[in-house]
Amino acid sequence: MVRGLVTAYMLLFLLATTWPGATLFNTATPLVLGLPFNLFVLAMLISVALVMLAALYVSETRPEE
Amino acid sequence: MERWHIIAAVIAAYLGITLAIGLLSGRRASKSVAGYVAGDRDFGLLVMYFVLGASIFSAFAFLGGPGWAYSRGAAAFYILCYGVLGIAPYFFLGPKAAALGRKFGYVTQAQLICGRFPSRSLSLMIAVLTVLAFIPYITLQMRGAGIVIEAVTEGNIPLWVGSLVAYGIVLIYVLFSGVAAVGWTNTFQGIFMLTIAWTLGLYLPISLYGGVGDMFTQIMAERPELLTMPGLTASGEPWSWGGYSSAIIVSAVGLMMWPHLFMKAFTARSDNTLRRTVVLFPTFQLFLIPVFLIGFAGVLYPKAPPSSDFILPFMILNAELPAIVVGLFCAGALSASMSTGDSLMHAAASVTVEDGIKPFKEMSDEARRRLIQVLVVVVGALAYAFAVVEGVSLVVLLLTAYGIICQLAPPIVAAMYWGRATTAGVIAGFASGSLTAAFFFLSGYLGNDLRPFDLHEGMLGLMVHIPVLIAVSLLTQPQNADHSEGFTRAAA
Repeated sequence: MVRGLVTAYMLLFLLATTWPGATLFNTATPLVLGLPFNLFVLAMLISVALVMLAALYVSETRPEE
Repeated sequence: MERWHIIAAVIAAYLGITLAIGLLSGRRASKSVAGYVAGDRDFGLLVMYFVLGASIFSAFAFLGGPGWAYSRGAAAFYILCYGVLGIAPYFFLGPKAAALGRKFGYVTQAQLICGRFPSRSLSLMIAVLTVLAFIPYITLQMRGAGIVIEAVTEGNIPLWVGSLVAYGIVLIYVLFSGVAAVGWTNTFQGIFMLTIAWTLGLYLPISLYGGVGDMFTQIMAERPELLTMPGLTASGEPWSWGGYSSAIIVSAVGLMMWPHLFMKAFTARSDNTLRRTVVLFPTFQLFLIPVFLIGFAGVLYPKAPPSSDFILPFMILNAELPAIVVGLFCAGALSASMSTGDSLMHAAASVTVEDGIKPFKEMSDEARRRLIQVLVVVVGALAYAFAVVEGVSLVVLLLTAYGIICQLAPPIVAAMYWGRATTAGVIAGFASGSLTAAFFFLSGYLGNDLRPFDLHEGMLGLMVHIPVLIAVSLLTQPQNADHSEGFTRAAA
């Protein structure tokens, strides 16, 4: 379940950061937190990936041997 | 006392601390190959985190990253993107490789591949290509260290002396303590350079433009082409989407296939340590953003550095900071270079002995450990020779190296997950993929670029590699099921 979700997100990440997905948010304006919009979107995509991987870790962890 | 004396003194103090940590860390490690190459499989979370982080924060990220943002604008964003994609599969691959490492005693990835697909020529082929890919990489790190020292001492310490001193120290601690030194010095260097990156990345835009947003507003007004992907090429032309996208894909596939990174799976204390490292890895991508800000801060600066790779030391020197702070910043940049370089030298020597020599000649554990140490010196000397000679094509070679390194991915995945893969299939795939990558690289290098859509030659290689691996495997005799299931069914 979580595995599927994370896999789907990673595919989305790939599509969103390469052509043609990246053209959808490829504009410098508006500035968000001082960053150009496209750079801000990339930062958000990475932050969500961090949360996704953390969720994967929690769901897959077995007690330390 | 002149200003550069203070800067040099701060750098010397930093180098001294690094050396001390490197030497102290090796005292507990066992004197075996497993101890020297795989750290007795006992790295904890903190060390693993910074060992992997150092791979991103190399001289390329610290000098090249700002350099790209400065001269190529949004093209640099590709460096942000590939890390997440590259590390995620390692959540599963890493622990599985570690389990096989414990079961069969592997310390390199070629041992894993050739354990499943027994072939001495495959082992040798991987060893040779790996070392070929490593040399330009190490050379770049050494040049990076030399560049920083030369720039901040106003040329009083030339590049060849700076590289020699910084890497002489790396050599001493790698020889003495092996991978344990790499781990602990990377931890110290990692904390150091993260502090530097954030401080400088926020300080420069604020002091020069009044804020990060104000800086981008001004860049947007004067150089808007820098702020939309895929940015520019090195010569200032608009870059292609094909080039940008395939750079992300090839770097993502290749990232964890670099032997100095993949081999760290064999150093982790437990599977949970490995998985936690993967989870935390994207934080390093976020840490790259301030590094880009340093480069963007140079865009509208009235003066320009001699080459874009010098933008970081150039901005540091022009920011009117106290000498002691400049020294600390430069030590941070040196950390980036040395923390990657040590890992590379150690891995290059380990791979040569374990994969290139051991399959052909019986040697005792003691003799192999000695030979690895001798080769660390040889590899270091070779890279140093390239570093002090003017080497423009090295960056080009490094990009090609990625094209070759990512050809290690299909054999690794096949070895651990596809029971039907055969030795013949893997050899045919690896050879055809590497040759394809080399062919397209050479065609471009000789002035007649045949690559469709500007795609990276490594990606073209993979497009040949994977079908060949599958087709030849299906056409040849399947492996003994007991043998292949020992790998595909290994608990991870």
